Amino acid sequence: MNNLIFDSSALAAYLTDGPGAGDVSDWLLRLVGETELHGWMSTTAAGELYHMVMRRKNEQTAERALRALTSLPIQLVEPDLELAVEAAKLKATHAISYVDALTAALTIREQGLLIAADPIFEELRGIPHFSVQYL
Amino acid sequence: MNRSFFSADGKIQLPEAMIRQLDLQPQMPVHLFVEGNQVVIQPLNAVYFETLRGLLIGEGISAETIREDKALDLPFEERKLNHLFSSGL
Repeated sequence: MNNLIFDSSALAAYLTDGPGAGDVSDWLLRLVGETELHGWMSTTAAGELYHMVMRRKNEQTAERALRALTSLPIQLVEPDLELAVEAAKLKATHAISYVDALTAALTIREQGLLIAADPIFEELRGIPHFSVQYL
Repeated sequence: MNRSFFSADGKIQLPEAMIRQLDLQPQMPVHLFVEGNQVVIQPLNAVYFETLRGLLIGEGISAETIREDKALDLPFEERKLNHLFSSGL
């Protein structure tokens, strides 16, 4: 599997040195060392991380988190209409947030491995091309 | 060569001493960003990733609090959906 998709919960674990932060460090090192491996994250998941940090702390800290995120070897992806519709279908049929649905739709489209700390993605287990690894 | 400069095709030429100081390796990805009137070269390596790990420690934020916030968002979305349908959509 050559595509890693990062959920906001994985980046939150990394930036707070929570459980699994070391795993994220390892994935990041592999991303810079293995040219065939690619890291992705939706801009909506980045925005989710931003608002959660800002809600708990302030805008300045959220900006710090965003600067850290954008320095990582993870490509931010802006959802297009096709991805938005695929996410809408997931959202309509599963008890997940729309932001999570976008992350899941990106994982399915890229046939990648989702890296997450949030077990909410268990809702989607069994869907073709959807793979998740929890921290 | 003692000074850095931009070549016409957009490449940055660095002095050998700076390459050694930054421990830049062939094909190593780096992050470039602007700080004031300077361009900062940040090698993406294990040292840097360890620096960022735990960046938000001491800010009252944890993976657990963020999971709690995420869980709060779901009912908001359901409420919005219910509102849309009660409005006649």
